[in-house]
Amino acid sequence: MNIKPSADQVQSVQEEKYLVNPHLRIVYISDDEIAVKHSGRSPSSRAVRDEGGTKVLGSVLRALTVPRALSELIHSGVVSESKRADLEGLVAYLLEEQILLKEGQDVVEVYLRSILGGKQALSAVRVAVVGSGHLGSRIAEQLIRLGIGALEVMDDRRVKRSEIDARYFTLPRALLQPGSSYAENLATHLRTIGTAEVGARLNAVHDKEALRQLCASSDCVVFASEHPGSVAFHAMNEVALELGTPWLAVSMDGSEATIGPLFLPGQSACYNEYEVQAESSCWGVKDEYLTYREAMARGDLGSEHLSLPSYSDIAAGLAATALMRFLIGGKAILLGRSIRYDFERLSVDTEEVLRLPRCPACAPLRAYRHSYL
Amino acid sequence: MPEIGIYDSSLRLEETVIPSPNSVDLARSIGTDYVNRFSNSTPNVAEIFHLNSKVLRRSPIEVPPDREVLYQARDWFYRESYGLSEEDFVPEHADKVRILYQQLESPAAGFLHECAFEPRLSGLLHSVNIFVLKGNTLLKVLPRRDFLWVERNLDAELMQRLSGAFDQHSSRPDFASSTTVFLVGSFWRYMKFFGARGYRMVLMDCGELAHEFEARVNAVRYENFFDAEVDEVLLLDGVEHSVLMALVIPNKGAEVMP
Repeated sequence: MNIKPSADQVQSVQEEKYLVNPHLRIVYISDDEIAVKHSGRSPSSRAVRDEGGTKVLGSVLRALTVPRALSELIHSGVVSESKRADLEGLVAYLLEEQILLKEGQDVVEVYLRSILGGKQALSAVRVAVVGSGHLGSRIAEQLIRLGIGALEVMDDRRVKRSEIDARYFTLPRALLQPGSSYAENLATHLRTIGTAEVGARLNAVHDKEALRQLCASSDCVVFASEHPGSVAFHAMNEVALELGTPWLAVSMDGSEATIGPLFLPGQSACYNEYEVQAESSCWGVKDEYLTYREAMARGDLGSEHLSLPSYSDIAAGLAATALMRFLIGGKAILLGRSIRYDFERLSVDTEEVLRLPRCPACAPLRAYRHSYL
Repeated sequence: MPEIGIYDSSLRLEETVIPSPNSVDLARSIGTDYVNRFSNSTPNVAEIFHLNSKVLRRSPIEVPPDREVLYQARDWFYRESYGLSEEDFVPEHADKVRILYQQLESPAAGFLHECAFEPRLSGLLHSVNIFVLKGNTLLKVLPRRDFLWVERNLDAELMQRLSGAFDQHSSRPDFASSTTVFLVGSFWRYMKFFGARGYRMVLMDCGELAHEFEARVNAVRYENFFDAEVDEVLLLDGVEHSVLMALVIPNKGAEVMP
């Protein structure tokens, strides 16, 4: 690789402090050659060689494990004054390759750009999380930690048994006072861990008008439920199809966690198509499964729906990861696919979801043309 | 001047082709599938395929922008497969495993040789294999090889089964007085790079080859036959390889079938 910076690049490197991208590991081959690794098998690994043979590359990177300005490198003798131009050129090149960072850069953002090739900054994205229970609260927190710009949560539930909630939520115990709102508690907590704009709505998760407002003001919606009844998901599906809002379904059901699919209205299968196929594939226990779903829809199951915190953590982590990949402009890894963890059996399944030609939920929204016109 | 762009807005742009919803036909047929498709609880498999083979912008499935990756695999396949030279054959018995194009007494021989060697046509033999039935010998055209490989000798019973696979036609192919060319799709050669989209591409390659065939050789096209029965005679599994079309070329002097 030939290191030849432009004049603009050189100008920009004068007095900033720089350090090696903490997501990268540098393997020193010689003073003029390095291997840049992210992990042993990372596809972003590459070799960098200074064709000019200035012997600056290795010594500079060794010195920049802590933030330093270029003048410090020269004064401390890491690079001689006579090689200042080589140093400036090198640093400009390494910045462009994201091997070096400027001090103070957001390290998560750096990861998303340098390792995942992200094109869209998460700080510019607005996400809504419907459901602020044990699962939704975890997903919301993960998204805040990833650097989402604005987040709105929605749930009308309130704390009933604070001892159970204290065990299953990751929120501070002090917030979980009986009668307090799930959504407001979560919003309060999220404001303490990030700089994102956080809002809370106290509407029921199947309230279509509230969902409509939420979709209209968000780039993407996560619908997280510890109670995977169909009614709320269908309401969300209807609104998303109407407004064209991408959304991700995540649910816990006892020891089962289902992450995905991600729905892109007009392109991928919708929730109805997913449900038809999920029910069809439930052979062997189909009758009892459908009876259970009906009881869930009636709301007479007689107990809360609890899943171990560690199960919810896994589901939330995977959901946030999949959503993040989608939001930064990359591949939607859960498009037309859901991942089902069964922690009771310790199994993981992926379910591919096909589009159905005449789905009653989404087909009427597709442009129709008579086959003889 | 009417603003809608047509003088008589009462003109019908179409005739009604869908019968009344009150007309219920209990016997399933292609026609009823068409009529009842809006309420059919088991959607048509072709529609499902078409709807699910679309390329999506954000799909995690990487679809190559062009066929370059295919061409690399194809070149390797053409270079390595059936890489036999004349010294590899036992002279006295070579005809049991291969025959030369000059031995193929058929009006199609010249074109089949072109298919093996002409760059554009031979390029299509990656997705479409050409099987040739001459007499009772089933042969396979090999890209960039100057011989045809002997796949199988069909006995009387197999010939009968093959003929029976064309039962729904008013006239079956006369295998005795013609050369029959079977175009056989090899789907995963494309699908492993393009997914379901690759299936469409194989069909298009087959169409291109058939078009060239008909332009240059006096052939009768058979598109509908009992696929599984033909596959069985050709020793194809019907999944990795399956026959897509048959082209029947009368031998010199024989009449072209209608």
